[in-house]
Amino acid sequence: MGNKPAVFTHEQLEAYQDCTFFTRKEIMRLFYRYQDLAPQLVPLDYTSSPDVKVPYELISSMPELKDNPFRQRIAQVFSEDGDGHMTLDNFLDMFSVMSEMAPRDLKAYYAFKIYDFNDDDYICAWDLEQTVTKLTRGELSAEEVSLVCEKVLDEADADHDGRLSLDDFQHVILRAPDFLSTFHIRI
Amino acid sequence: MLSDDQVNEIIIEVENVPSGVQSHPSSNQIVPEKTLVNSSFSMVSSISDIGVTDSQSFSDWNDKKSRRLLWFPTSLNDSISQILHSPESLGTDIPCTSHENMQGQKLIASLIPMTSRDRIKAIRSQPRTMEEKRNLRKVADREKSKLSHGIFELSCCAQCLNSISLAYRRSKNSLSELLSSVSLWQKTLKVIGGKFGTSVLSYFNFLRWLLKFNIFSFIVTFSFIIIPQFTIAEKNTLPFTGLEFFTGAGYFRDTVMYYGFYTNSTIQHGKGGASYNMQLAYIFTIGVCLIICFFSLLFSMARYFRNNFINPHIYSRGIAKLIFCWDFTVTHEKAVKLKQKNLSTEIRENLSEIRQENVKLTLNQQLIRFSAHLAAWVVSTGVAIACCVAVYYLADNNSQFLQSHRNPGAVLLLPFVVSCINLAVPRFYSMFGLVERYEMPRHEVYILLIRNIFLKISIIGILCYYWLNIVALAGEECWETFIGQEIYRLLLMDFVFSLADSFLGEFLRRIIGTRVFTSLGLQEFDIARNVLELIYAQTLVWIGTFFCPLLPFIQMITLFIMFYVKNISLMMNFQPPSKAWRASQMMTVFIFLLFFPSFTGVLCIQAITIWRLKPSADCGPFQGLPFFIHAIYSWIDTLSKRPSYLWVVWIYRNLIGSVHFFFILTLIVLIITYLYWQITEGRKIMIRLLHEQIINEGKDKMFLIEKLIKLQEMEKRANPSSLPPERRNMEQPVSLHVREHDAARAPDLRFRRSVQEDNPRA
Repeated sequence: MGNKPAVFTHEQLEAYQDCTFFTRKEIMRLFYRYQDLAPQLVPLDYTSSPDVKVPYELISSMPELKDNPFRQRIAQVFSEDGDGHMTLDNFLDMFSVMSEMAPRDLKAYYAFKIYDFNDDDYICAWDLEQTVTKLTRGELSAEEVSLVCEKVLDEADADHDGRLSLDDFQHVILRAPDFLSTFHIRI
Repeated sequence: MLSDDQVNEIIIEVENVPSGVQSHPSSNQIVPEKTLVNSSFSMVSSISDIGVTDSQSFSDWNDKKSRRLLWFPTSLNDSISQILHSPESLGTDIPCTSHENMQGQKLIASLIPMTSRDRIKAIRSQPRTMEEKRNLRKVADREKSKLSHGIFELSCCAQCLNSISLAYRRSKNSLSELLSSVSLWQKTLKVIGGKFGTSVLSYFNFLRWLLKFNIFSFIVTFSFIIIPQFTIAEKNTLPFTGLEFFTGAGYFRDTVMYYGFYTNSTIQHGKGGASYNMQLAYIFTIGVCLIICFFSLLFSMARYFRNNFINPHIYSRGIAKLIFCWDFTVTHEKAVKLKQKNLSTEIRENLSEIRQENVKLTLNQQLIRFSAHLAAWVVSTGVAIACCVAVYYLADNNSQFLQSHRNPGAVLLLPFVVSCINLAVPRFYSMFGLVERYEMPRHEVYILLIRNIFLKISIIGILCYYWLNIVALAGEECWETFIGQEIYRLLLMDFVFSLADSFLGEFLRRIIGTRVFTSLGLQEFDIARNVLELIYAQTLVWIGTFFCPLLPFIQMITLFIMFYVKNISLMMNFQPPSKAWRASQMMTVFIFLLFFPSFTGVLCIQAITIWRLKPSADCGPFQGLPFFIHAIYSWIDTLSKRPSYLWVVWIYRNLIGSVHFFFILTLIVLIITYLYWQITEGRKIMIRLLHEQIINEGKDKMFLIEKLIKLQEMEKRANPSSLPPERRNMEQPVSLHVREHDAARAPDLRFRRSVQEDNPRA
């Protein structure tokens, strides 16, 4: 045990600890999970901060994500270039935000970005349709889907501009106290 | 009118227009004064040959720098773009970085004066990438150290404080690491959450939380009263048969399990060794346990209230919550599919509810409903009272019955009857749901909860009344031990019944549901009923700790076994819940129930015991005293004879024992509560006003945009040839685009509005 080379330098680990909600042990555990996804790609020595990205297909095969209807959006939001391929930093960020220690505002911000499919910083009707379709997996008919989107916009759009801004979204979340416990991936 | 933010939005759209901006040097001057990111500027210059784009391609520009423009107002923090190269390097970039520099420096400036703990908290909650956060941290630390170098005379103190806080943080981290490694059942909870979702998980989390209470109580009682008693334990001469595990009597009567075994003497080992006053130790240990449980419950309840009861009277029967609160903890494939199906059903129900929202009931129907409710309440209260009376009479006659029948197993009759009542009557209450109809389904859950908790608390109440008023005053020898044994038997019988219910009842129900009546299907986990059973058991444990100090240990083992039994039964016999169950609100209600009838009842009973009852004369640590509390009185008396402890006596006589002090304290607390209540009311009014303001601003925006469209159309009709050629190129696709994307009219209007902005400046 004593001769195992360190994965991170002391400063790196401290930086990770200060920038995420994880303890040292959890960070190491997450690193090994990341490494297990692509053992040939991810080096065991991160002291030189290598620029390694695990492709999206491997990320979405993780048991925590593989059946999640939004796994593609989650990977896109947290990846560096929005294409779903994640570096270790992105990986840690993702699970830090989805952990139970993250505050509501932070989670609401990222949930907003996940549901914003076209990345225009507003959740418009099209985004809502995409969300509802992913949630119900084709069980609802097209009219029901558009009815649902209309109702959501009715309820949540405070300034009546036909789409939800981050503030509108946060206002909805405020009235849904379950959000903190449901927007949570345990790893 | 338009706020600054909206003006900023428009200007940003301007600079994103490739061909327009470049031909208007004047617009370049506007830009540095408003929010602009240097990156998009470079983007503009690099793609000027793209020509006209429509708004769809705005979002298709996958340049991460443009997407990182947080130009929509965020409540989190200042809208800062992709930054945090250190401030020096910012200066070397293209002009117009001054604003970005300002924003970055504003953030860093706000971070510097914070303590390191707050700074880390602030950095962690920033919605930025890891790299940005790292740089932020580096820069903030560097600036902080620069500042602290400057202030030389404070450096000593500041460095001291810094190192102390750093050490504290490190120790807290390692402690939390230790705790999380010790944390029980993480993997099991993950599997449960993955298959059944957050709502069923909340039951198991509650069980784990109660287990922590019991572990803590056990450790305290074990260290302070059980171990000292072990050191002077006398030999146990009673015979041991296996039945004692159920009755708690017999062999166990003379063990550390019960009050009667404890000595009232001062334990002293060897001459001149430390003396240990058992009386004081007993009363203080139980007192400390209860006080710490009290504060722990209070803080948990307050935390849950703060997070989950933000505005209870805004009941949103809304559909937005269904859409946005997808349960990310569900990871099992079948569970996800089932959840999607259930969500669709719920959405359909919600849609139809919204359509039927305005159906009013006729007077006749209202009367029928009201009478059904009334009848149900009368029947449920009647049943509860009847059960209480039956239990009381049984308990009363039990003692005579026991004296005539010498069978040691006969003491189990009362616990058996109580457990049967607890098993049958809640299910009977659930059947009322067939008769009663509620407007909102959550009313049904709450009313069922109220009825069940009323039943359970009245049974406990009547038993305590019997014990404290009849048994304690009957002059029986060692009545405390007797009560302890009764409570032990109740607890154990309850545990046996739960096991039987899980092993037999739930299995049978599954076999019936899958083989015999396949239409029934698998059952769903009844969270409310199970949580109430936990609350009932915990109340018994708290009451019984005074009479039977080993009870927390027994409850610990019980909870441990229950976890595994419920887990196995859940995996095999249940299906995931079909309706959304408001887990957070229900948890708040459960913790409140644990606090309000349950724990406060325990405190009342303890208070009555200690202040009003006479301890038995020849067993236990308080033997011979007129009241339990006299142990404290005599201690204070002995202390008052010693000059170095007079402050304790003073505190006791003038603060704890004085009526005036409590009166003033109550008055102050009431005044503070009133003030906070008024502040809350004021804030509610403020929220309403701000909400109206948002709506009004939205209306203003739409009005202005429509007016602009009209003006633009008029101008176009008036002067079709006065526009520069590039603009005409741009106008064509824009107007095409408007026809195509009618639904997304707002961004297009913004686009055209931005064009309009350029025009007067041209």
